[in-house]
Amino acid sequence: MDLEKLEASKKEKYAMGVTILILLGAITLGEFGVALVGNNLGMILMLVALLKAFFVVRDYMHIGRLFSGEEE
Amino acid sequence: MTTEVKAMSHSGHEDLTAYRRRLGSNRLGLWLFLVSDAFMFGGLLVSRAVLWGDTRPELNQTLGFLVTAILLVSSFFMNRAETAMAHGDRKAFLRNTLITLGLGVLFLAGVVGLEWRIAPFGPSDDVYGAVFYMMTGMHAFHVLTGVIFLGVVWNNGRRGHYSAERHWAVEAAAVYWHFVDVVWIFFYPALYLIGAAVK
Repeated sequence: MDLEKLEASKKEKYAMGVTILILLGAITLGEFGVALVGNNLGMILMLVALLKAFFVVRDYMHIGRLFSGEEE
Repeated sequence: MTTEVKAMSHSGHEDLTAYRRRLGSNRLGLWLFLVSDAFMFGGLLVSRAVLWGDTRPELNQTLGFLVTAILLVSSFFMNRAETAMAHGDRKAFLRNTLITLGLGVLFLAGVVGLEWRIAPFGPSDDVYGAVFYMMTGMHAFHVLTGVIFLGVVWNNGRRGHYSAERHWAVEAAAVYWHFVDVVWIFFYPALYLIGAAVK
């Protein structure tokens, strides 16, 4: 891979990291807001947590590598 | 001559093809460990659900939100560190790993140093204390081991042990760190948000 392509790939992955951070931050804020509104929302909050965990496992932990054999 | 020895080059380094082949087994091993660890954390979540039910202790909401934000941001920097190493950018790897490590220490200071001190109960007072200190304590222990892991990886990176092609230890440290983050993603609502505050 030449230097230009490598740099472009790095920038693309950095951008993905920023997107996920913004997404997680927004969901966490929403989670906090929902908890302030009502008390009997345990199931909803756990589902929201599941959604956040999904993004971390897929995009930060790269679970796909486990099955694809991707090197990077 | 064994296959393993054949896979070594003259300089003593493992052949890149053999290294890549081994990477699959390494990843599977790490994920199996994380799954087994997740069962333990799952058990703690179940004990919280059974013992606290629809109630929770009155904890500092601002601090809970802050430490959660710190851990989420640390995962972001860990991802940057791993990406940097995978692209051969050692300088960015070292900088981002150090930031992640610092945020990990800050999280520990927030939970163990501050939250434990201001919590209105002790570990042996009642079910609230027992569950709260067990959950946060076990998680903090994992954060601490993650911080140590990051310290080792940072030091090895500083000494030039990793490259874009060979950085399994960096990937393992990153996956472990994100796992610790995932656990907190479930612990935060379970401890701070779900149920009515009773004390």
